[in-house]
Order: sequence, then C-alpha cells, then structure tokens
Amino acid sequence: MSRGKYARKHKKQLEQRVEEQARSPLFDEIFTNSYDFTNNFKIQDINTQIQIVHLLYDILKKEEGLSPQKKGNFYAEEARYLLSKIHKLANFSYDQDIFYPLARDEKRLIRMECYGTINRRKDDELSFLFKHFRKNAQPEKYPSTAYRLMASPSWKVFHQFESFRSIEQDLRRYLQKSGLHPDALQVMTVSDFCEVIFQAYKVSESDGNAFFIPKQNCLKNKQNKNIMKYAGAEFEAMLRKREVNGKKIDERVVKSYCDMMRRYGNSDIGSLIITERNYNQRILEGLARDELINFGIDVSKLEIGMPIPQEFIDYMVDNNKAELIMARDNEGRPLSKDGLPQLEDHHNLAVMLAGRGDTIAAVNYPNNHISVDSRIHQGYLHWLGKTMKSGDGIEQISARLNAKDSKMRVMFGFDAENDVIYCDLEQSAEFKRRKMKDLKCKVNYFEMMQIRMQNEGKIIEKHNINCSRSYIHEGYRNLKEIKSTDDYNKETMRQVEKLLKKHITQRKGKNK
Amino acid sequence: MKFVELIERNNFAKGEDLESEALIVAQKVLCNMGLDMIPRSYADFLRKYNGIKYDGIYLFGATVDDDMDIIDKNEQMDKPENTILLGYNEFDLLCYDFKSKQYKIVDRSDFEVLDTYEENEIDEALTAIFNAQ
Repeated sequence: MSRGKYARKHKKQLEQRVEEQARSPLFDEIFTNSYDFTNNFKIQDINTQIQIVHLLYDILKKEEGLSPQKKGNFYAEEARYLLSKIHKLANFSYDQDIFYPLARDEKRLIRMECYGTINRRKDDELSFLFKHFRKNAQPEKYPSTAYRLMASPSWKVFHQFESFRSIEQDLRRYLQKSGLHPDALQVMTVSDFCEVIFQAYKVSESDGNAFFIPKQNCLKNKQNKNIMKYAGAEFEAMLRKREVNGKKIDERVVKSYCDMMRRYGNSDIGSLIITERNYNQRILEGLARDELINFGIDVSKLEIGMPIPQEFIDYMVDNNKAELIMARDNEGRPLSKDGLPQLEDHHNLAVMLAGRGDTIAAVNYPNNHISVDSRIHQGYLHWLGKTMKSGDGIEQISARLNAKDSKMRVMFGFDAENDVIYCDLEQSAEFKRRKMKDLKCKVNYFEMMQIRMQNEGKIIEKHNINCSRSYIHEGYRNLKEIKSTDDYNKETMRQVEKLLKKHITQRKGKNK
Repeated sequence: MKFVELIERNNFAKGEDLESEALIVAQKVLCNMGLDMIPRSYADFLRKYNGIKYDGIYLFGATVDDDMDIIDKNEQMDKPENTILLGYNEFDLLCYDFKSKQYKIVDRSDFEVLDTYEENEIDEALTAIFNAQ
C-alpha cells in the first residue's frame, strides 16, 4: 500500500465533509426512474445496492426528526415505498415487535452455545459462597455421582441448551477431581458455573476462553456443514454464477471454498487455501521431491492433467502440506479470492426476542440462522434495525427485518428468487428429539435465581459459614441488577427482598 | 496467554501495517466526530494488528479496508453514547467508554452492558469479543 492512503481516504472528514447526498447522481437516478425501480436495482452490484438502501434510509431518518406538519414530503414517501420494494425483492418484512429483555446470564449462554466457547469470568464476578467452597475443596473426596447438577437452579438455566447438556458427564468428572463440596451446586451462580466449565476445558491457565465444544462442531460450523450436506450442489452453482470484473470465479476457487465449508464448516475467506484440482508440472516436480510414501502415491505414474484425488487434497490440507498443491496463476501468484462472498451468520429471530419463543434455546436452532453476504448483513439487515424503550423503560420495541420464509438459509444477494438458497434443516429425527428435550428443560430464569437465593440461606446455616450482612446485601443487589421485566419478576423481587430481610433478622438474632 | 499470542496461531485477515500518519488521522477524525482519542492500550494493539476480521468478528484499525476502518464504522454503526466503537461480533459490540475509561462488551440490539474491563484489561476485552481461538 502506498504511504498515506488512509489519510487521503479520510481527507474529507478532516476538511469537514459537506452533505453531498442530495447532489449525488445516484439520488437523481433513483427518483427519476422509480417506476422501474426493482429491475434497475436488481442489475446493480451489491455495493451500489447497499448505497441505495442507505440513501433511502437516510431520507427516512431525516424525516423522523421533523415536526408532524413537515412530515410526509415527497422524497420521504417515495423512499419508504422504494425500501418496501427492496424488502419485497429480498423476501423480508420490516416489523416492529414488543419484547422484554433477557437477563444478562441468558444472553451470555446464548452466545456461548453459538460459539462453543466460554469466557473466563473475573474473580469479582464469582460468588462469595463459591469462592468459600473452592477454597475448602478436597480433591477426589466425593464420587462423581454426588454432583447432582439438576439440584442446582443455575445449572438448570444451562441445561436448557443442548450443548451444555452434552458436557454434564465431563463436568461431573471435573467436579469430582476438584473436590468442590457437592452442596456448592445449590448456591452457585451462572458465572460460577462458567468458571467451572472454563477450568474443565481450558488449554492453559493463561487462556481467556476455552472451547467446551470442539470448534468444528460448534453450532456455527455445524450449520455450514449442514447447508453443504443438504444444499451443497445449489451452493456451488450459485458461486459459479458470480462474476468479478466480467469474469466467472475460477473453478479451483469455487471447489476449494466448498471443500472448506463442507469439511470444517468454516466460511472465513481469510482461512481459505485454494488448491489445484489437476496435476501440473510444478506439482509433479514438488511431489517427486517430497516423500509421500505413506500416502502410497507412485509419482512416476502421475501425468499432467490427471485429476488430483479429493482424499489426497484433504490429506495435504490437513497435514499443512497444501503449499505443494496450492493453485497459482500464470505468474506464479496464489489465486485471488475476489468474488467469493464473506458469509456471516444472521439470527432471523433476534436474540433479544428469544424470550418470546417456546424456549430461549430456539434462538440457536438451525432454521433461525441465515448465512448472509457480510455487506448485506451489515449494510441492510442490521442497518435498518433499531431498538426503542417504551414509556416504563421495561418493555422495549424492536424494529427489524425478518425473513418471510423460515427456510431461507443462504443469502448471496438481494434477489430472493436468484440469490437465495432455501433449505429446511429442522426435519431430522435428531433435531426433533433435541427440540422435545429443550421444551422439557425449559425453566424461568428468575424463578431459578429465587430458589438459588433461598438455598443460600440454608447452605450458610448448614455449613456454618461466616457470612457478613454486606454479602447478603450484595446478593440482593446482584439480583436487583437483573432487569425486573414483568409482573412476575417484580413479585419475585418482592419475595426475595422479604426473604433477605428474614435472613438478616435471623443472623442478627444469632449474633446476639 | 496474551490475546496477540493467541491470534498469532491463526491465519486471520488483518489490515496493512499501521502508519503513524494513519493513526493521527484516525484520532483527529474521531475527535472531530465528537468522540475521543483511541485509548492508548488499543493503539498499542493496532501497532501489532491494525484491524482483524475473522468469520463475522471484526476488530477495527486505521486501515483502508472498509470492513475494519475505525472511522467508517464509528460513522455508520449505532453505538452507546460516549463510546468509541472498536469491534463487534454477531451478538455484541466492543466499545471504549471514554467517560469511564473502560472497555465494554455491549449487546448489539439494546446496548446493555454485559461485561466491563479496565483499560489495562484489554486482553480480556479483546478475547471476550473475539471468541475464536
């Protein structure tokens, strides 16, 4: 990169950029040809399409700030109409939903399940009682069967998710090894369990997070693998249709990208290794030098142009030998990845609306994920979304784009008929079993936290733990911090408050 | 393990090497936008990795790559008040709150603060937003 390119890019900002939007040729073009808008829009490249979306949305946003008398000008009305045409083309609807925010712990669990990783919690986020039990742990003292996870209200919150259910055995073994008193489970918080899971799966002490589900099997990657399993041919065909500077994407690029998606569930272009599909002079010479006896290849029998077996390509990639079969252009440079979509994961039912479903685990279900071109994801799907607080500050309103068809799995472009892959990933018996189990495991977070706090009193007394009044207040504050989101939760808060007062009074009596 | 060591093991796309001039421009434009300077600890990180992107996770830098340009992203994306946006993943934003001088992991939809880190805890903050190991 030439020096100062970044500075030049932002020269306008430094010179106080002026509003140019209304004078742009794009603006004129949109509004003078609006009668044939959809067809004109379809033939633009994605970057121009995104520019159009932004321009139209900016016009609407400007109108929002006007007084009611000034609203409804021609351009705003037209912009609203044209945006609706884009939504129709993309098969999305722009809806407003009322929702109650999830508790922070629930939000964290949804993220952890999706990525299969757990972040280490800071020491001050762990509960006093957990730290007490951890300090007094006696390794291997209790059998793993003593750790009844389902006796823990906090674990029941985890247990709602399949990924966490799948690690229960490992967790019990770790608890046995660490020797934490089994009673601790009854009072441990969600953060305490995060720490236990982190410790059970960390690679080294200094790591900040740990994979509790192997990366290749986390939901995100599994989703990509399933797309390739059920709609791989369609996915490949869509890639072949794409053009860069009037040229189709090189077949070797398409094949290598699909291989990566299929085998690893990874769609990150940065990690893609593009390999040759047929032997050439360079590869044969390289193979002759490299001893691949273990793979049973007789290089002398290979000829230029013969197809490279897929198993051999996989072997070379897996064993960091892909350099030898890496595809190169006529000048010996690695092939360009231009034209490939950078796919990102989009939740169709927003995470914030997860509380409205049958179970919060549903937010990570296969049919709730759409792999979207990153430009559309950021520049369209998220660009138009917004969240507003209602009068009482508890209820919130979300305005966002929702896919009309739950089978929408991959979105390469705006044209729902030509750029989108539809596929139902919730038909397998395995998924149906998971869904039934999820429904059985559903719990109310606030109810669980209430039980956990009740347990605290009992455990403090049973183990005669010297616990200050300020700790009890701290616990109350923590619970209070969790948003009180509906009448039920307000009632819970009242009950907890009553309970805490009782504990404080009891302790006062004991102290006397 | 430090975050930088962690990502060295992986082949993530990163921005071009940071030029001093680019950092100065970024600082000036952000200030002109009514924001604040990029925190020192994050600027130190940019000297090693001037923006990273991997599978829908982004950390911004003073880079010509539009996906990771800290100025463009702070202009374009919604974020909580008094913060500079430094990165995001599918669920959350990584912001620096220049009033409280803290890094914050914030829910993308309702801006609820999920985690808070002091400036010297930048490793933890970056690890939290960048879930890939």
